[in-house]
This record gives sequence, C-alpha cells and structure tokens, in this order.
Amino acid sequence: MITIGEIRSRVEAELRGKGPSGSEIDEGTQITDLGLSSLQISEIVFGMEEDYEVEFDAALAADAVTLGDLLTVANRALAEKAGEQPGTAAPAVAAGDSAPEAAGNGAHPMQPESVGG
Amino acid sequence: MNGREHRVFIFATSVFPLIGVLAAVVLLWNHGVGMSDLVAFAVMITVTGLGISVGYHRLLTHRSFETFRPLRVFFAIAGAMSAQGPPIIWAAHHRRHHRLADKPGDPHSPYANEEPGMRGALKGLWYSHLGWLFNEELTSDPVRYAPDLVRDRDLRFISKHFVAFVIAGMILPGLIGLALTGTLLGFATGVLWGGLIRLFAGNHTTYAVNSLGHYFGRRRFPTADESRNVAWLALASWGEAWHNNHHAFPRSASHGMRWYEVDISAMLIWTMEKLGLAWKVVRIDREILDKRAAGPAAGRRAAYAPPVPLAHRAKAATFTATDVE
Repeated sequence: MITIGEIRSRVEAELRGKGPSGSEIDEGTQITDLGLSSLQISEIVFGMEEDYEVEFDAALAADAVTLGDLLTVANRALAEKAGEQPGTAAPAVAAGDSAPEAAGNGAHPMQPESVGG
Repeated sequence: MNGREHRVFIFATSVFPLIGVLAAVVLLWNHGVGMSDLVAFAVMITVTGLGISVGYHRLLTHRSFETFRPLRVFFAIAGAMSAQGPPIIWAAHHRRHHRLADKPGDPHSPYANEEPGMRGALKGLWYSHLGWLFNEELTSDPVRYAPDLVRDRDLRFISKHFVAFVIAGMILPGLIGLALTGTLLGFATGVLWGGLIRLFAGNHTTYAVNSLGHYFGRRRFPTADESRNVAWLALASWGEAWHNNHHAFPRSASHGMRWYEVDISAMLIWTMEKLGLAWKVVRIDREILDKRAAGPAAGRRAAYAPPVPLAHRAKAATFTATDVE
C-alpha cells in the first residue's frame, strides 16, 4: 500500500526545496499546481512502478488530476499484483472507440491539447 | 526542465550557434578553415543527425526496429547531443504531431492559427520551424504519449541530464580539433565548427522538415495532413525529408519508398540488420504502397479519426505498419 506520505516525499525529492512545502501537499493537491515539469511527473509515476515492480495503467496515470488520483492508480496496480490474476492485468480502457481528442481537448489540466498562443 | 528553463535553453541553442556562424564567416574571410574543423563538423553532424533520425525518430518514437540496449542508449545520447530536447519529450511531441497532424493540437503545424495572405503563411512557417519551441503552454504529456519510453530507466536518465549531453556534444568536437592539431586554437575552432555550426545546420535541417515538409513538395500519398516529400532536403536530413511517405507509413524503417529516394538512415538500419544488430525492422509491401497512393484526395481538412495515444491501448494490442506511433 502506497501512502500519500510516500508520494509527498517523492514530490519533494523532485522539487528540491522549490514549490509548496510538505504540509500543503495532500490527496487533493492538483499535480499541475506542484510546479513540476512533465519529466519530473514521469519520474515520480514510473519511479514508483519500478520500486514496487508493478505496471500502472498508463492511461489512468495520465488522466490523474490530483495526487489522490495517482495514489488510487498506484494502489490499484499493487492490489492487482497481490491478487495475482493472470490474464486480467490489463483492464480494458474505454477510450478506444470514442473520439478521445475531442473529449480531452483543453479540458484536462494535465494535458492541455490546444496549442494556444 | 520547466517552461522557463526550457525557453532559455531554446533561446540559447538558437542564438549562440547563429553567433558561431557569424564568427565563422569572419574567420573564413581572414584565414580560411582548417581540415581539423571540417573533420569535427563531419563527425558531429553525422553522429547527431543519425542520432535524431535513426535514434530519436525511428527507433524510439516509431519503434521501426529493435536493437541491443547499448546501441539504443548510444543512439539516444547521439540524439541528445543535437540539442533538440530530451528524448522522452521529443518523442511525445512527435507522436502527438502524427496523431493530430495539421489539425488543432498538432504541436508544430504551419497551419496552426492559420491567417490569410503571405504574412500569415510566413508566420505559420516560422511557428512550425522554431516558434513552437517558444510556446510556454505547449506540453505533450510523456505519461500519455510515451509510457514505453518513460518506463526505460536509461531514457529517463538521459532526459533528466539532457543539458550535460548537449555540453558533451560541444566539447567532443573540440577534443577532435585538439587531437588533430595539438593546439588550443584547434580545440576552440573544433567547438565552433563541430559544436555551434553543426548545431545550427543540423537543427535547422530538422526544423525544415517540420516547416517546409508540410508546405512545399510532392504528395504521393493522400494523407489527412499536408505532409510533403522535399527531395532536395533528403540527403542533408538523412532521409527524413520524405515526409509525406513517413506520414503515410509512420512505422516504416525507411522513409524513402523508391530506389531513387535516398534514405541514409534506412541504409544504416538495413546494414545493422545484416550485421545482426537490428531486428523486427518494419517494412511496407509495394502492394500496400500502391494501394495507399491510389486513395482518394485528402489533406488537413479530410475527415480523420486519430489513433488513441499509446497509454490508452491495451497491453496486448498488436501494431500495424500504419499505426502513427
């Protein structure tokens, strides 16, 4: 089970003193508000994957808005690993048939699709 | 790098090489250029050019072939030395470019915010060439577009320490100059030619594929974008300028689709394959090529259902040659 404390320490390690202080980081904190680059976010997400030897559902990880969302994705992968149900490791993702770009266009804080400017 | 650092970096890699080119003109005017400078330039433009074309583009972004880990790392480092961005970020942007080519959301389309007239056209070309790199709001989430690459610890390391590799790419040609001349002046002009001028020439070649490659040239395949084959740029871009071919068949290891469409990157991949250093090389049958070429007229306004980002695909999904990523 991964806790918010663990995610907080990973965020702080990436921020190295910059950004909001520890007490301000909780489940409700939006990932985009942390001042992390996309590479640093990747480092946090996939660093956990590596350390816990699990594979997150990347689509859900990319859709995570708050640290709480990320926590859910991580613990779900951990629970699946503990459950050891071969063949069900990859949950079906519903994004396949819809027009994912239109749905996500500009609405997602972590994934601004519009080029802007 | 966050937004501000990234902007400073892009500014520096745009302005300093330009100053380098001006410095070189002054030097040429007075003293000419030494053999060691040309060697440093030739070695570095080849290594970094193939690093981008074979490494960043065909191996990492499109998975056109597979190779041994040390070679994969070598190509990623060679690409990083070209200073076009960390491999993970480069690949994420490029995959999104294919997904939404010349449509809203394309990171570097010359038709983004299209304005009429000559001025609008030049503005669009500038944006797709270099302007897009200064767009602070632009990100292509690597978790969504490149989960396969972010899971690669080596690529994360190279991406994180990207600037160090760029600096190494400046020092290396200096060392070539030092080795060939034995003088510190040789080191300095090596950095000038193999570092700054090489960076200027190499990056503007790549950028030209993004700008001119969606504007001027022939379209063999009616893709749902404005990609073009820019023949005169093919040699200098290591084959990347067969850009319409590439948009029609993104995963193909070769962007040249005819014997006369010279593609040096593809030749290198084939050579590696013969030597047992590359496998699962993606090839497209002539029959499929002809069928695609005969399709109905298209362009950026054609109806088009973009493939889902890599993160949204089921793990067991099989990829076909026409997949964008």
